[in-house]
Amino acid sequence: MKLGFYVNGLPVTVDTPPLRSLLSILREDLGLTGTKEGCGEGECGACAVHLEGELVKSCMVPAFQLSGRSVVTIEGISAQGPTGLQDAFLQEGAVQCGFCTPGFVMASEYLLRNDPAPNEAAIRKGLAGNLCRCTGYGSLLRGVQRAVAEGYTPRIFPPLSGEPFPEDSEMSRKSLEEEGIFLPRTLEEALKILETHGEDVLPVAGGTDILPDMVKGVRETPRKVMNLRGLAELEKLEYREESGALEIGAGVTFARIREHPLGARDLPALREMAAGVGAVAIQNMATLGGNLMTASAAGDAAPLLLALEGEAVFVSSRGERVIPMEDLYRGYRKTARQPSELLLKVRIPSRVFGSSQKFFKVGTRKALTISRLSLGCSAIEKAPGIFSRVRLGIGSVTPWPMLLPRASELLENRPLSMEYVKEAAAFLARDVVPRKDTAYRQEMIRNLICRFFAELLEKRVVQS
Amino acid sequence: MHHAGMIGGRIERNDAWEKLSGKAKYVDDLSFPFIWYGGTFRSPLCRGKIREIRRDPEFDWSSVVVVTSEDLPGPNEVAMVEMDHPILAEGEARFFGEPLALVGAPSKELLKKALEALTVEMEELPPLLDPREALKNLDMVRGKSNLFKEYAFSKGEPEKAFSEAEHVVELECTTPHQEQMYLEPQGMIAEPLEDGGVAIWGSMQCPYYALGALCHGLGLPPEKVRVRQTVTGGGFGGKEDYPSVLALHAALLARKAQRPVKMVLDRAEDISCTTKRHPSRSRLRAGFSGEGILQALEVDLLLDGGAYTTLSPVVLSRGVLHATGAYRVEHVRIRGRVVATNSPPNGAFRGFGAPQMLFGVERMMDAVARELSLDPAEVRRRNILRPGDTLPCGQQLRQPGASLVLQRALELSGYEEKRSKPRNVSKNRFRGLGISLYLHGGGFTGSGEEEIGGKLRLEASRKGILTIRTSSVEMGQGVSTIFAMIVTELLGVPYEKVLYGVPDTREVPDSGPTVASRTTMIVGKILQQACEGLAAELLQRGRTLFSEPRIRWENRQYILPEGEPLSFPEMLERVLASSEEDLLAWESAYTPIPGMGWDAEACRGDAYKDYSWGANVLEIEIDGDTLEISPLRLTSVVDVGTPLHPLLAAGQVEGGALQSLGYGYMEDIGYREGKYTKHRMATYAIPTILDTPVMKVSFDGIPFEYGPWGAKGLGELPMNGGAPAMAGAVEDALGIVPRDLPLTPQELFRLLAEKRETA
Repeated sequence: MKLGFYVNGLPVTVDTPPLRSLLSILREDLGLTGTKEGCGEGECGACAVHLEGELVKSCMVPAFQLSGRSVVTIEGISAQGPTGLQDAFLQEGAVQCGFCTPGFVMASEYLLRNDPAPNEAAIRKGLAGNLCRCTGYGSLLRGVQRAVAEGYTPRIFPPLSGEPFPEDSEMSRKSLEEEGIFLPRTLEEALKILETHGEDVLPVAGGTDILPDMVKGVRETPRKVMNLRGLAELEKLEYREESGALEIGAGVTFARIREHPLGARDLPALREMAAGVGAVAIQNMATLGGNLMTASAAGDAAPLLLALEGEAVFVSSRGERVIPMEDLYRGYRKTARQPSELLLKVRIPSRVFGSSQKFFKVGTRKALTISRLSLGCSAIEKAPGIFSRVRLGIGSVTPWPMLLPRASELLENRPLSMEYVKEAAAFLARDVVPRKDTAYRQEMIRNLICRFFAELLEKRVVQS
Repeated sequence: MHHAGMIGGRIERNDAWEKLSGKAKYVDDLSFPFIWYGGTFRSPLCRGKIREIRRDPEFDWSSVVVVTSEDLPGPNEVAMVEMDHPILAEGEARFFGEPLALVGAPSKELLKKALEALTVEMEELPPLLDPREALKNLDMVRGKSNLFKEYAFSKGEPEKAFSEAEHVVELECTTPHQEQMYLEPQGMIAEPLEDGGVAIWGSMQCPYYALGALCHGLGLPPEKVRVRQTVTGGGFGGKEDYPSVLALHAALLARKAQRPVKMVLDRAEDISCTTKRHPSRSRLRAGFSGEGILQALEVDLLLDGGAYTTLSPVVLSRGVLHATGAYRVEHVRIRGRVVATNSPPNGAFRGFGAPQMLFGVERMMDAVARELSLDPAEVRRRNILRPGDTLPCGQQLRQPGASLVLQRALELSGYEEKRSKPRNVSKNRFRGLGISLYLHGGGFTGSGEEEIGGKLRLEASRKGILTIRTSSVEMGQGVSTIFAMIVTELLGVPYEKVLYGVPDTREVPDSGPTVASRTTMIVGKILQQACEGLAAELLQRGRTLFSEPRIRWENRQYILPEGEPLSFPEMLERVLASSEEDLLAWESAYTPIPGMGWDAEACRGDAYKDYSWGANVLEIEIDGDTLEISPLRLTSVVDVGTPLHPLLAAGQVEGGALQSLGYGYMEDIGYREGKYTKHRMATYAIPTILDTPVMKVSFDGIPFEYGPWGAKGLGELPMNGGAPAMAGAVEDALGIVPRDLPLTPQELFRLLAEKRETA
């Protein structure tokens, strides 16, 4: 495809296969080798760039999503000589082999642009998506702190130059379709495409689960791909009176979910879950819909949405279809979606707003981790120590995320004591038999259920 | 201008701006006109007879080149310590992923298709994977004995001492493969030269190793081979031996295609197929008094070498020579063996046998403490090496820094006060405190430095530019800066005018490999001598030029009996102008240290020129519900003689310490049935910034007489202390006894269950 977009303020056009990554385009077509490939699968952060001002991992951004958009790379940041941040890194010894360095500069610039005076915890969070093997991170942390102390302000990028790229013409869309790439402009168009091509088409939003695997040949490259990014109908995030629910569009990123005000007030577990997906750059790209529809057993969102009594709303040319979250998964990596449908949105009903809720995720490290176990919890305290609507969603221990089946039966509508909860938790944990590390994971499930209730019984959380 | 006072200062790295701005060119950033791409067709089995490599007739094979073992112009050997490592498997594949054939293609897409169009018919053989089974030699991995190497030596009368000891404790520990995970994957570019030779660019630690392997494997004389190191994104030992394999592969393809060929490993391939840290199993037995004084120690170290020798004998040697750790023991029996298995070959990784051995030794000291209900710090104090003590190999230590670093670490960390605090900080959170005391012999073992006879050349141009010509490579550790500092300090020239020449075998002498923590300690010393030699040479020339024998070189100046003193560049300009030369050069070679000797087979003599020492105090918190470990604070005090650049040196300590902690509790390669099941960055977890403890690093040292300004080895030392401190901290927090790494939550769970059962 012919791709026109902006790099470091200047317009560029390249001829590239539509699934090719932004990283490859920068390095191979444009000779901008400052952005590095350390892993090609969105882990190490050496490929980090700014895409329309957001920190993203360029190894996971496909060409067909770049049309007319603006990218800033390390070369752009460095164009006028060393920035105060780069100097701070130098002074603090934060540069050793240098391979991770451009990625850290991009991540730090992004952090400081959004938070000019971050504390240590915020700096660590902001850099958690970048790996370094040489420095032990101390000097990188001190470098950012030094820049902050010196009053460093990130450079604002000059406006884009050159004529704006023309809208993709009908002809270019047609030729892309012949290559198997669909770029619908509206949801209606997208649904029509699905009507015609059904199972042959793979819808792609953020692409973070999909693209790296495709590029590496771990997942078969689909014959046809449909871009969902930019479809306004999929990207709404709002509370709606009509449905009495928070409606999260399938195309909403975890970053937006994380920042939504309802997260602070009434849905703290939702914020917790969103903030734990990968790290900052992944949250900027990955969508709720992508996460749910990839249907990984270890997916982060489903266990919590199950606990929060979520509903999945599918849409096709024939209209909408609502199903409870429990019915979303039919088997290992199999969802209830019909070939002509798209996931439109997920609803979280207001009856769980302000519930006692928590999201636990246990991984192999504190960021950038596939979950070893996740547990989404929600309960509504009717009277002191008595709960209704107790729902516990588990992930990574069963072939697909599910509710612990006997949670209601064992934990609702009776005064709870910790001794009782411990016993009940043991029963609930034994209902699940993970294939690997069975005893350990059952123990963890038991402990986390106990931890959830212990906090409640100790604090007596009052609903809003 | 930067003159005196460089040493111990904070001069800026001289390679930082290229790295910060993205301008630095790593091998994958380079491209040549008409470049092709190379890939490797690999064995799908851990072990099997190769019947036939088949090409799918549907593919147009004329569009690519294929190289098999039948196309080799020289012996099918990658020159290393032994010659048993084939360039391409022939007859039998001995590890999963062993290279069977190479493909070169004009595009990456075509390369991928060509690799998919190759298949191999193999007759599967049962792999030998347990090193203990390998010892029995019933099933021989390479057709000859599976024992790559054995060392055995003793001191005193261990059996008698054991029988007389009041207490005896036995322990068995294991450690797994560890992946270096340098951020830049391995890569090479090869270009065929018109005279039949080959030029190589690549990410590597030892250009001369690659040169040797290329000459041997391609049957070429050294004049026809040129190896250049590109900016290298981390090595940690992983780019010590493997680059020889990759360079040969790229060269073979380049010669066949008559095109430049680039081979850069994809991360998953890099993890799956390059060398790792040797897994170990150590058995230790200690006899000690009621006061915890060690009287006898027996150590048996077994390393898994994988399918080919690579550097195994040297890893083993270092392991056994660190078998008594930082402690004095009169009666010792030490045995070490490294065997062949069908694991992918293991090789160099920071520490090189010492992290494995010291894990066992430190666990043993903690076992002694446990047995006698003594504080682990106290047990160490009571047994610590003192000035004048002799190691089992017979080396006498004039001034071991062990006490110094231990004392300081305990003070700085507030150990005593923290020790008295409760471990259970809240219902489900447990704090633990662990210590480790460790050492690392600097430079090559025994007479290795004498055998290498490293050389270095210093060139001074008329324009006042000093260029350092050495094969030691900058890979992040800071050598280009340290060496420029040394020249600046000694010759009084501006720092900005000292260049670090690209390690190019055409342009630099062989200073030896960039390994073994030798670069500052040994090669830095050679550089120091080269500076002195160059200044002396210029002095001679100056005296001749001015016909003035009274000129002196003092305080970075040429003092004339009359008139103003001349700086080095000023004298240089005058001398070279008069002789119409452009360059004054001086080459220095390693000077053996007087009074040191070594018997390799008997393991007797001065094992290392000197030792560096370290002590760690680690505080962790464990989540009782999930058994996840959070490292909170690490205090690390090291004796490296003199840190020439404390900021850069602290960076080595922090980085190595974190890598060592990762080894201890997080890094798990999932080795099963001869394969690394966790061979992606997503599955082989290394620490992120959120997993990093607050670190406090301090230098406290006893200078090494023969090191530049007293500097000793630094690079590997920090790798030796993290895992044992982690094990001690876990033991302290939960009352379980870790013996096997990594200490994942599942392992902690298993140990807790074991403890409950035995209770």
